[in-house]
Amino acid sequence: MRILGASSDLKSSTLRVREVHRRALNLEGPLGERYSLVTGPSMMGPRSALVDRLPVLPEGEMVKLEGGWDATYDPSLAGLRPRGRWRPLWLEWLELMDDPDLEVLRGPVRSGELMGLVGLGPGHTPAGDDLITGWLAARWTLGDLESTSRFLEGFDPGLTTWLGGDQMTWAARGFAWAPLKGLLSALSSSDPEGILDALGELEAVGHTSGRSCLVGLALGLEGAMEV
Amino acid sequence: MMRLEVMGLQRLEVVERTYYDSVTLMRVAKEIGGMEGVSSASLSMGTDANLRILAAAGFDVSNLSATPNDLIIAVMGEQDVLDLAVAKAKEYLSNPPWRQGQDGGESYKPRSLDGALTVMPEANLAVISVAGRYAGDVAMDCIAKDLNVMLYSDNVPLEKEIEVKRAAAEKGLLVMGPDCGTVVIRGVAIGMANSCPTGPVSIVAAAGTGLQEVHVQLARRGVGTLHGIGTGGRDVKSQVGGIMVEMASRLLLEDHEVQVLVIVGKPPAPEVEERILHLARGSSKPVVLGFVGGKAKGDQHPVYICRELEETAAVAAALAKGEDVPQVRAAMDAQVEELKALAKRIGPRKGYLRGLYSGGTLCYEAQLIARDILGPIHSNTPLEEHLKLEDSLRSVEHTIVDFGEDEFTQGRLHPMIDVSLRASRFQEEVKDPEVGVVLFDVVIGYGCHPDPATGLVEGIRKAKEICGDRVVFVASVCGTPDDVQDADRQRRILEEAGVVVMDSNAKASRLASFLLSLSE
Repeated sequence: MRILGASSDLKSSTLRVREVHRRALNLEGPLGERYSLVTGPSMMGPRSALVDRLPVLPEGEMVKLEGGWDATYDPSLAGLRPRGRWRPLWLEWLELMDDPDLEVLRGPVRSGELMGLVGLGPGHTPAGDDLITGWLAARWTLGDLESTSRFLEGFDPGLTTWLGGDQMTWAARGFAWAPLKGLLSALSSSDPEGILDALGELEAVGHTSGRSCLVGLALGLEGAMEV
Repeated sequence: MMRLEVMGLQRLEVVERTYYDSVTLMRVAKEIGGMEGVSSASLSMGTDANLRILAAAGFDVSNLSATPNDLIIAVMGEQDVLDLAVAKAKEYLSNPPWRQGQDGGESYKPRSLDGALTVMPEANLAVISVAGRYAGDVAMDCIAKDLNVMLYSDNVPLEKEIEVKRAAAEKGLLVMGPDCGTVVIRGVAIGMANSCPTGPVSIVAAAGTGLQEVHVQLARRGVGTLHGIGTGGRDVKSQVGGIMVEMASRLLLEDHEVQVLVIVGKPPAPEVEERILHLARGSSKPVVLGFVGGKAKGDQHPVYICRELEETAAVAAALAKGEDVPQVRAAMDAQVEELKALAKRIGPRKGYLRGLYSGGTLCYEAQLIARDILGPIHSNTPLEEHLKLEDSLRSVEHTIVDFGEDEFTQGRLHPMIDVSLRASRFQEEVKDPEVGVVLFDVVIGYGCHPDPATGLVEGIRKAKEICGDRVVFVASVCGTPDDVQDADRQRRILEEAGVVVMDSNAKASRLASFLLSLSE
């Protein structure tokens, strides 16, 4: 296995293999924090390394990640601020809740309580978590740190999956995976083609993840829902 | 909610209140039809017409209860594969196999007009393809945002068409449609159109395949087309009053790049025709009026009047090239005698003509030509109301059927995209011992079936097993060698199957009719 690049926050660590997937390996640090080995640039996120192929390791195995890699992905959302001119576009993402497989989101969204979405829906990162991730990333880029801090204070990791909780926590701190950051970056620019491409990337993530995240982004950018 | 009906080697499943677009239904049916042990598969909405089509395909629908809002999954084949095939069909509907394996990279398609305009603020044309009852309102939204409109949808209420066109005309915007499948803007094809060169001619057409045939015939004569503006067939009726034919014609006559204007369609209402003639007579450019089957006659520069599509293109091409129009007309007259001679060489046949068409205007033109030679022609879109078929699935005497009509396309793909209905109808027609000639069109180009000749030839081969050489198959290919389907290749495929292929629909119709009339 060769490390082709890494996120700018990746540090050398000794880690335990926690989850083995077809295209990613999730590792756990001594404090329970997540690290990932991924096989595609679009899967990069905080504490991630891009590798040429995944090592064959059983769950529970201890591995050591040692430095010497190039930082190729910066997960920070700092400096991004979506432009209002794209509002008609993000408003249409709210209609994604009409998709039958996102129906589960409608009730909690209607109630306006963000925390009611934690852990909601099937999957490794439940659709509710994906929505919250989009919402938090949007609020963070708009400078609403009060809401993101309130989320971190009130969030109970026991209510959802390890990965879902990790993703939301990072978003509340202003960090994101490549497809989400790519879209926020495009929305902060004047490039419509870039937006369409970035949207395509995010929409294609998981079965419902990308679309749920888009709903959350739209709600966050509109200032809808509260923590 | 679902209901199951098991009947021997077939399975029919009704999925209530479920709608999928016809492209999806066709693709899933194709996937299921390719499964081992499946001999026939169909997914269609439960309209009366579709139930009759299923019955004609051998399905027992006598106890089936379905409404036009229900989806019918119909599978025929070996008993042990039927359940699996239906289950696969449902799986494919929810998760289409042609979308599997896509890993990001697909550019996002905006879902709303506002969203689309946000990323494409310079857009000035909207293509609308939604259910007809909603299409008019969508068109009004587009006009409010200063967009020209191509209205692909059919079944738009007449009052709505008038409202939309009046609103657009007030803002100087074009509404191309409703029921407009073909548009060419600066040589760029939108919808079902052909790959032709750009050039000095522009066309206004109240007829979709009429536009295609003229476009193609111009290209065959080495003359390019700059714009082809479809207006929808109702535009030239009294109620709409030719709003868009007149407006598009004015715009094109004012366009310095346009040297010859062609206006094509079925004959307009008298008052509309008079306004078009008035406009044409005042033009500084030649205007060729191709009113298929119209009564007006005679050329008086700048107005040239034609009654057929190929003739319209031939005259327009002559004008664009500075050739002598009377000479071109004389050459076309001579071709009629050549067609009679060809019919004699092939060997005249006894009996009736059966025409199976995918193009509405081509079907109309074929009826006009055949009527003049053979007498009354029955049709689902007849020239005279008393010749209307009681059942579009059953031909009587001389019959020419338009498979693009509603009874064949509700919840199903247009016959230019799905050739299977016509392919199976060939066999039905030749079972009638009194049939001597089968005539059909093959329309190719963007948006059409990727290889219609191959699909149709499958049916023709089976038909020939029934009728041998008793029946002559005559066709024309509306397309060019530059089309993705390659008109030359399509022609070769048909000819190898024993089909007599002509250069135009008019010629094919005339030859088919002569084959029968010369035996009398």
